[in-house]
Amino acid sequence: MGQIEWAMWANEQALASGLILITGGIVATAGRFTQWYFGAYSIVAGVFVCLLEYPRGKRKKGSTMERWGQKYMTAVVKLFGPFTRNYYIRAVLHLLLSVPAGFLLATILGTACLAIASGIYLLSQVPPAHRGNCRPLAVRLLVCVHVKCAVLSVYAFHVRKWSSVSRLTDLPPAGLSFRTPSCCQTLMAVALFSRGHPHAPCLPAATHS
Amino acid sequence: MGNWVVNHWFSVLFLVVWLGLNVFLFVDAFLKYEKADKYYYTRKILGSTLACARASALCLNFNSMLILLPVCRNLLSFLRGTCSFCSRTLRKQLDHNLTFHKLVAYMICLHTAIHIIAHLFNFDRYSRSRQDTSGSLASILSSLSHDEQKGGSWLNPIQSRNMTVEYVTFTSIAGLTGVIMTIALILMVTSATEFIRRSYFEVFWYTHHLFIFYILGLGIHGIGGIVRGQTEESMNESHPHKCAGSFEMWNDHDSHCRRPKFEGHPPESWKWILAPVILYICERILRFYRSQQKVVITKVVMHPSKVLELQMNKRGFSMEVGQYIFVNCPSISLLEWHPFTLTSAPEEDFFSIHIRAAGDWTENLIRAFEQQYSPIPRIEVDGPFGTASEDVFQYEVAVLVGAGIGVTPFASILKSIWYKFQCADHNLKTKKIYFYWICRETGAFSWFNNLLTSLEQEMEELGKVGFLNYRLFLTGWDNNIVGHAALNFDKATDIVTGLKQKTSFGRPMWDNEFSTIATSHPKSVVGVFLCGPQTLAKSLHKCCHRYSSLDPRKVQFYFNKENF
Repeated sequence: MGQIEWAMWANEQALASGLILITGGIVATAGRFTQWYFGAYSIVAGVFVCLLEYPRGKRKKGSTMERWGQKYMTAVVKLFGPFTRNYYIRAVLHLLLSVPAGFLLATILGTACLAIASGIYLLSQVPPAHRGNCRPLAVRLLVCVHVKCAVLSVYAFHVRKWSSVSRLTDLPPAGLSFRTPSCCQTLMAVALFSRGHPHAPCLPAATHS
Repeated sequence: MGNWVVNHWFSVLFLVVWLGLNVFLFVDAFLKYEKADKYYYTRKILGSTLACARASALCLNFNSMLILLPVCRNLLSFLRGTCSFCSRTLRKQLDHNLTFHKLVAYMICLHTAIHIIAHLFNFDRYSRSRQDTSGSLASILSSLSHDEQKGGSWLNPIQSRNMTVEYVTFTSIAGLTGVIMTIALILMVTSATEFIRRSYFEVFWYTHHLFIFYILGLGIHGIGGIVRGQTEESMNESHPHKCAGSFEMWNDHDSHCRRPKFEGHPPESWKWILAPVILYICERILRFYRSQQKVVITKVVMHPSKVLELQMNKRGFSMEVGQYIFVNCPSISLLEWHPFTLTSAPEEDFFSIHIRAAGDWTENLIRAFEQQYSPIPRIEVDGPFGTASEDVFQYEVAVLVGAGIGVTPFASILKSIWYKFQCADHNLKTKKIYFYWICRETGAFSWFNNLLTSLEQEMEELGKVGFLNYRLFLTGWDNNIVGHAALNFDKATDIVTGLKQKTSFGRPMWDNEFSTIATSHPKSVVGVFLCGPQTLAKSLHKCCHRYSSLDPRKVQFYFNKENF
């Protein structure tokens, strides 16, 4: 598992999402569905994503099979320098691009797929040696902060939508507070322990391929 | 062209039948929903996209039924065994199971796209007719109530003006399962591309298990009964041909026409997928059961060039030549199963595999066995599963080509021949074997060397020198090796391998080889077996077609390829 380059799968997924966005956008625009202008946006976003993702990135280990004719697109993509080279930026870019398409049913599938691709790009940036094994303190803290933020935002969303949940979990009545509820704490604990907490024993390397 | 037809007629026929069934089912369902009176009112709102969606749904059911069958390898082994009386061409089709699986998957993707696009139009039209206040037929039909007390015979699933299509999608079973199924399908397809499969097999293997969500979703997709048609009773009472025109008067007491009543279409996907799902579950249970049986490792040999040989025993295990097994090592990875060809002969009292370091799992396995002071890791085995090599002894003349580690199935065959000769089994159909081993470096030769040396001696003792003709090709040669070989040209044994047969340098010239074989055996059926890369398969396939005579009584080359 340590040697899998997730970015390669993210690339395939993002390319497929681009095509799905284009198709959904064409259907919505041609059918003049309600709020069809989101469909028009989706076509543009889909074309952009396809052009960006068409050149297959070079693998760290082994030979890379280039896609047919990708050298023309590579020249254009390279012009943007670090914005296209860095996978963090790509992940955020895909996430942002996918949001407007989520407002229309015809393109919501493209949103979901592009968001998943964004997630896989993020996963690919976790250093391979640290996936599933003990990690240095800095990385653990970073993950801790990320998990806390994600959980807090989920919690805030839930509080606004369903107040009955707040009664169940004894949450503070309104607004964000820095006291995290117990369910979120459990979530974070699970997240940390499953990926190597400082106090959890290190998993031996032999159990991971 | 003629040769291609002779070799491929069954595949072509099979594909034509499958495509034909798809087209037939699509057109049949399309016409049914487009013409039937039952859906007259539904069509008033939706138009032709109703028929489109239903037709593609039927094709999806059909293909989802077919997709699980080619991956039941135990079932295929069973069919291969029971059909031993069938001709070679028919049994060879079982080798193409994965190709068929992929074709069916592409068809599912195509029909999913049609189905989703048609339903997007349907939802939009339902939404518009719900918003419509003009008093048209569509708007009156849409206003039919969902209230159970009034009979609950609604047509439009969008119940109120404020309800959005997104809300209906994510709160109805059909919509929600549809979204889940489609996302599962897309993830399966993107992780199953050739590049990902070859480079990162685990990503493909684990993601492909999302098919469980696909199958479960498909089973419950139609439960909500969103596709509505008029009930029989309502049609007898107020037939649409009579009553559609007078829809303004449906509420009047003295009108002959009453408001039409609708009922949902019962789910039928489960009927299509039930049997294959049961078969597949049996397949997985059988695989698990076989894997739980104890495997005793009797010998571990570490060969040069990082090749590990494991000799094992398992109760009730019986194999044929060239079959393969799936191996799992729980201490390395709990869920991963990797295929390896068996290198032992059926006549031996153990079975063995040769594993070369070629990735994470294999490297870890070799490292685990290298450690002298820790106990031997436990191994689980599933199999054996049959591939084309089983057919070797059915051919009068066999041409065996192994590239690199691809020689392993042929190790099993050659050993089996040795044992058959020892038992004086002269009923072998095979009269002559041509064996080609193509390899890059000399280090990988050594474990196979011993086998070939003993075979050479055996053949000499039995006086059957002409039975086995083998040629070894060293593709990673340089001038030093060639110079050395040229100097030692007169020696009886080869300087590289120590065998009597001299090593050739570079790749074989297949045209020469095939034409020699064709001239030496003008009336025979020749089986060509390859375990190696795709490019080599293509050139051998071409040669088979080129040198097969059109006259079925003369020399015929049949090509068989191992594929994992």
